[in-house]
Amino acid sequence: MTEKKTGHSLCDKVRDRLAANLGRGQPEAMPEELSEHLAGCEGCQEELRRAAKFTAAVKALRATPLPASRELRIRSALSAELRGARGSEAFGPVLTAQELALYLQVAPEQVYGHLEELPAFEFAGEVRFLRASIDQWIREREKQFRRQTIESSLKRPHVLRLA
Amino acid sequence: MEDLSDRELMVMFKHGRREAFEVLFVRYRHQVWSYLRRLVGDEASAEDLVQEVFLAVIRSRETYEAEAPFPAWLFRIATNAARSHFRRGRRSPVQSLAEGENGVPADTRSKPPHDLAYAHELNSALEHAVRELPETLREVFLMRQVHKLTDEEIAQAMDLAPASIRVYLHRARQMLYRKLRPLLDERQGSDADD
Repeated sequence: MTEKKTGHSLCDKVRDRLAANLGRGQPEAMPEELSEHLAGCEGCQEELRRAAKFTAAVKALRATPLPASRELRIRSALSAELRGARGSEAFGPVLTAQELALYLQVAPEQVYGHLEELPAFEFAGEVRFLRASIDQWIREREKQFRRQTIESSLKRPHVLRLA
Repeated sequence: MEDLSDRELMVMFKHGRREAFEVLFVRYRHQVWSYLRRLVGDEASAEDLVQEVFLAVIRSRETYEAEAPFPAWLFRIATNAARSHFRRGRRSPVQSLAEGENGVPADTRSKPPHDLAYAHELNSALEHAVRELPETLREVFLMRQVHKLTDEEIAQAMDLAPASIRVYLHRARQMLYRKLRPLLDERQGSDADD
């Protein structure tokens, strides 16, 4: 009778310990008496395995990355705030790569990926873009795109006939 | 500039160096997004709130005290933004999710134990259970378990004593464990490991 009571009490103590350690990176060590009980008690071992699975699942929770399209919109609003104005007129005559990305509505990585095509200049180790040069570059790209579209249409006369 | 501490960057930003803000934004954008997405439950609202949080950082830079840990200050702003969001009368994530008995999603409970996607299911059930936690417990749990803030930083972010944070955290873990217990059955884990 006494043994049974002691056994239950030790089970409770072990489970209290396991509960206190749930999800913790560095669980507290158990007193020897409880460790010995745990080694011989199937029910407590089962509880230990459940607790370990729970802790592993909690540790696996991670911060999820902000999607690029959402980041672009957020950056646009923040950029306007930083300049104390809103809308496209927020851009000054000289743009950073970040601002150019917002100006062109692309990801910043795409600006760096196409740096050799863009009218840029370097000062004190930083790349900058004159907005007027960028506007001129855009107009050239427009002409080029128009020519390509017409040439492409000529190679496919049925498209012209349909048009 | 990427090597500078949060505090140094905030001090530089206070003195007009906008590129310091850019470094802070890049450093914390995923953390703030992830925290708010889990707090409010939908991505569109979370995006609005992330914008709101960083706008508040820009507008409040003059009141930032260099003695305060930046993460505590930032998460305080984020937590307040989420609370205001709920006060504005939008649905809470608890109401917006379909749930089964015991708070475990019905589709998860009905999956057979031999399912090889057990770990994924457990994670989904945990995410679901986190959304069902009472607001304060959810905030404390996420700041501690996902974003690795210290008890002291969470206490500063929430205007509570560190001892209270430990109590809340313990309660949150207990509630989550009880909700996930049916999924933590030994057979399921063993089968998933095979």
